Amino acid sequence: MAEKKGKEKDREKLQRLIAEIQQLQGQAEAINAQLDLIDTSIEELNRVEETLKGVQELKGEEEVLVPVGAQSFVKATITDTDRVIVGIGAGVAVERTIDEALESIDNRRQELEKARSEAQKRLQEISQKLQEKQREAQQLAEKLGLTQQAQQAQQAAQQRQSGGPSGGS
Amino acid sequence: MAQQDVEQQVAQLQQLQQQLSSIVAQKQQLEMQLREIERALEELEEIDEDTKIYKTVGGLLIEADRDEVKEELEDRKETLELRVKTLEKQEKRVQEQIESLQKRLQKVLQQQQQAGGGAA
Repeated sequence: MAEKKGKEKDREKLQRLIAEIQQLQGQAEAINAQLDLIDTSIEELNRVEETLKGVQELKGEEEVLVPVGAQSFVKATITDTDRVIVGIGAGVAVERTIDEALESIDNRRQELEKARSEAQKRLQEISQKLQEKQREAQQLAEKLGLTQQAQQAQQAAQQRQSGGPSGGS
Repeated sequence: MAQQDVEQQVAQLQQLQQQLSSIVAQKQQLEMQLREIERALEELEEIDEDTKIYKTVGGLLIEADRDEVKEELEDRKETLELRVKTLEKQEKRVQEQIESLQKRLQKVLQQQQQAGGGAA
């Protein structure tokens, strides 16, 4: 009877561990999505920085091709090579000098890079915890003679580690 | 309580939990919009008086009056704050419903377990 009770307890513990593992996996996925978003934003900032620096070097007489989408361009001349209109969110935009805009681009990029390294740190912590829990679950499953479940847990772990984090790329 | 009732209550609990997460998601979305407006308002405060301001109209930007833009943003902010508050109230109410239902279910399940253990 005592042995039976112990086994029952182990089984409950295993179930709890599996739930925890799934929760951690969900968290890791959310952070990965966040990282993708941050990377996209940084890329966009890099692109606009390059464009604005290019515009600054123009005299304002040159013909440039302005993209209007779907790989299509119209010819134009940039009449003001010192200023740019920048959106500040909520459907509002303000005029700025390109120098001012470049400065705020730099600030935003730094903020994003900080956020990225923080997210990466969190992801690492979660991965570590995940590994611990998975090891624990596996041991428990083996003890209970549930080799099938142990294999499942291991498979889920491997899927997550190989496919999960880079899934968004 | 009969097994049927328990099942019904579990279903109700799940429904409430879904409702809660949908409320929370809505609230988060509105809060994001709110933050965006607040940031834009702060930015408008900082810029020079003679800076040109534009409003997006579909895909276009149209020059706009600074005070008008500010007023419009303040209005939108107010509306959003009100909606967030309403959602907060809803969230609290559903949360309370969930908690009381959980408590009731736990009690019933405990009783069942005890009864079952005695019979076995």
